[in-house]
Amino acid sequence: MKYDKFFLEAKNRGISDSQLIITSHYSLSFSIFDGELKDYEISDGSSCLARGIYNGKLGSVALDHYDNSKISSVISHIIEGASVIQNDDPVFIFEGSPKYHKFNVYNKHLGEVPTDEKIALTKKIYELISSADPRISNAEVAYSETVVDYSIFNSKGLKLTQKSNYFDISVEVFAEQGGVTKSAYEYVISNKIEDVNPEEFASKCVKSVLNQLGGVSVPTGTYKAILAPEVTAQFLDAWISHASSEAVQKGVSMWIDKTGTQVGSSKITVIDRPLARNVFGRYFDDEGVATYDKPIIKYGILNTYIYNLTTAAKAGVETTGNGYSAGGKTGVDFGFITLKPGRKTLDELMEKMGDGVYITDIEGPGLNAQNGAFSMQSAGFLVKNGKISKPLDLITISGNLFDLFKDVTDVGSELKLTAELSNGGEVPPVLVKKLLVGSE
Amino acid sequence: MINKKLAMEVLNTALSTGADYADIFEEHSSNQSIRTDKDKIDTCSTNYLDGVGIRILLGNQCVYGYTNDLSKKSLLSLASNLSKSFSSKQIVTVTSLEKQSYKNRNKVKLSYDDVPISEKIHLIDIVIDEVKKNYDPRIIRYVVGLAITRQNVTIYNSKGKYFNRIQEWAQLSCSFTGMDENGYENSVMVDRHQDNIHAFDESVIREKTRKEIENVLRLLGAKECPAGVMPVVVGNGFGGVLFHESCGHPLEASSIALGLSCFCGKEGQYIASPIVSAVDDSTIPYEWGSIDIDDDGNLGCKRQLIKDGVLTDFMIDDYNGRRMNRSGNGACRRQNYHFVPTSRMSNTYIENGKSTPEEIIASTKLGLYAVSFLGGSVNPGTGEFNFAASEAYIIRDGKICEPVRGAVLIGKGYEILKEIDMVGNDLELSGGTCGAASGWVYVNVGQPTVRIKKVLVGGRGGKLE
Repeated sequence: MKYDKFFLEAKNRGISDSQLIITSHYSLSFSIFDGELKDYEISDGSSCLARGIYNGKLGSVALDHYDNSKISSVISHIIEGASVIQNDDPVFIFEGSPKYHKFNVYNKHLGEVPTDEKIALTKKIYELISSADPRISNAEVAYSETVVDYSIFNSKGLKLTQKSNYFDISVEVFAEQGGVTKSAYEYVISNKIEDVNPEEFASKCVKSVLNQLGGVSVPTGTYKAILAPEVTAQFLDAWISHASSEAVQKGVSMWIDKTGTQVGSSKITVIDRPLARNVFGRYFDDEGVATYDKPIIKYGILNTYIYNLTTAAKAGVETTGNGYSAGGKTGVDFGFITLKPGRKTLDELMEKMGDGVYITDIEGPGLNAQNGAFSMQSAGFLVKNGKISKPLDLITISGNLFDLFKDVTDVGSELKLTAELSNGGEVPPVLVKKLLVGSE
Repeated sequence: MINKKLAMEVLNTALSTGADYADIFEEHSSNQSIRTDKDKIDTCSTNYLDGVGIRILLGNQCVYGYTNDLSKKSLLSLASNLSKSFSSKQIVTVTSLEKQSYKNRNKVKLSYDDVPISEKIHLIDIVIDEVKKNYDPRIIRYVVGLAITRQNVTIYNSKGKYFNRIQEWAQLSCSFTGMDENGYENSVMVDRHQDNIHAFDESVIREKTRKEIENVLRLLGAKECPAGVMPVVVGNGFGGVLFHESCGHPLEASSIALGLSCFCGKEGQYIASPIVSAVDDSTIPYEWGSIDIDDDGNLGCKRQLIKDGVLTDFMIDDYNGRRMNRSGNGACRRQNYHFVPTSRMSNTYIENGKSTPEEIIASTKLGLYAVSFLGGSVNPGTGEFNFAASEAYIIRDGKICEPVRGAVLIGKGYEILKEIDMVGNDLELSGGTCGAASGWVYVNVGQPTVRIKKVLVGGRGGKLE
């Protein structure tokens, strides 16, 4: 194998097993501002994460470009790193799963679309937005495309590769009225350029910012609320992190000894779907373990914790294929997440809510994932009699995630593909029975 | 490593289709991280960065590319591909490269590369020892980390100049998780230096560790912060993150030049209370945000952003400066070669005023005292900002009273600066990491204690009474 020389020399220097994770990438990005092409960027390169077990401890080093001339220094770094490790967690270089559900998330056609066409599409979106309304004061439309080739090779003969590509088009648009400026941010992620309907997307961006103009204050107090998918996703990401076996084993999860118990509303079903056939799909984790789809929360009941090889060994269970690299060590994380949709459209959810608020954005570091408390800058709309009434100007929302997900009374039907979760997800809006809103 | 001959060849290839400027950013950097889980080291790893970024400008257009294949063929190919964005005749030719000299105020006198790992681990052991001395069963977890960044860059540009810049930063941190019958709370101790390992002082590390243990235990017993509009006294040091977010970012040329800042067209006008003056100063030796020379090759300097409430200057890089008819003023920065550089802050702070912190507290009848913050964010275009407090108290009748948790401050930058009605005389700087378009860069925030007449505070504690 290509890297046998590294594995052999590592073995000769006392490293019992070793592994190389090689990532090569290509990216293209540009933006349109003032109708002109701005900040055109191209890049290619590779990176390598080398790991090895030395005296029962795992050492690692990351570098940008690997070749055989670096074998000796890479091994020295692994030995130095492993030599100072003091904890006794079991460590692994994995020989491979019996079966992998291989699938392709690389769309060859995306790379064949000429760059000029991608620029023209992005320009068209810019022009549609900037000419839509005189109150639109500024807009920047950015296109970014990435191709990643991700491979794991190790001294136990494991060899896995997955190639993927995707693009995203993001828009930040500003509108001004009466000396007050508001902004909106929208994006689309896909690996099929034909998925983008410029007219629909531009119209959504324009609507999103114009709707915020003329904001009003509301009395500080508790309101029924609908959380938009982007907001739900950010809260969901923090909430389900308590199903990490690492957090449980370190005593910092709120869900210790809670499997099989009700942790959220019966309307909530959360599925870890690493095998989702979209740009976020992964058929093996960063330890080389085959991934598989599984419910994490079923009708509000915590179904399982997620594990990597180390936390599974400590708990005496099988890994769930959720080992994801976090710097030099392998942590525990979810794959692609689906919050199972309900049956009501957003309009029907509003009708069901009657009076309340529709929260479309949250900003800032005011979410404490550890204890679930949040108090955040937010944006949204006042809803009266089941219809959007007025935009809200400068509000905060406060609460606790563990109460919030118990307070979900309905889940919408319209899923949005979102990058707000660590490895992507698709999330609908949710209706909650109470949310504390702070306003002037 | 690129030599001058190859650099000229790459620059001239980049300029061959009519660009008016080009530069090469060659980087050989490393990030070492040592981390514990409680008192045992569980991670020790190093990440090496070796790559090159090539930037080409023509008027208001910028093209950028990077690669970590440092062969001549790869670099010339990247330069050639980037140059295809333009299609005119060459107007700038590089015929020689001369070394640009600059005053090296942040010289690396003892590199962390030459420090035995045992000395680095000793810093971690000091923290662990102090945690054990102050043992409290409510501290259920702590993670001590030492992160060392060494950045070694050489920049060649079509002005016929090149220079090398080496900097090292080290941060020692400890995050605490406390738990009692009411749930969990977190707190983080950080000690940072852009200097060698001897800049760490054992007594300071111990004091900071003790203080943060006290803070997390205090938070466990704290009530929820009340919500509503109220006077807020913001503590010195890291309280300056308020100015950093609400005003610093909107004063970067990357926002101003594109008309995406709430302070566009306000130069020479009052944007703050007349008792507020603020600067961005990258020349303070060995401060966390200092740089001697920026990525445009412009020297670091002290920029007076606001003088007695009047907007006087911005952080400017050469590229965005083109749209402003201004030259760069030493503010062009990036995290690493993966990023095209842009205007960024360095050491940004509100200058000292005349009040003592005691006077400020004593003259506040009912309000919030936000001592320190987790961080915040801003949209420079709308001016809307938010900050989450990590340590806060209620002020009653001029006295600091009960601690509160979960406080978040929100507002509009262009309004909040005008609401400052007292500025203290206890200026302090505090380090942090700032994320924006050109990645994460090390910066200092800072201020004396200041009072803001009214701010919207979010929290779960009901109305302030």
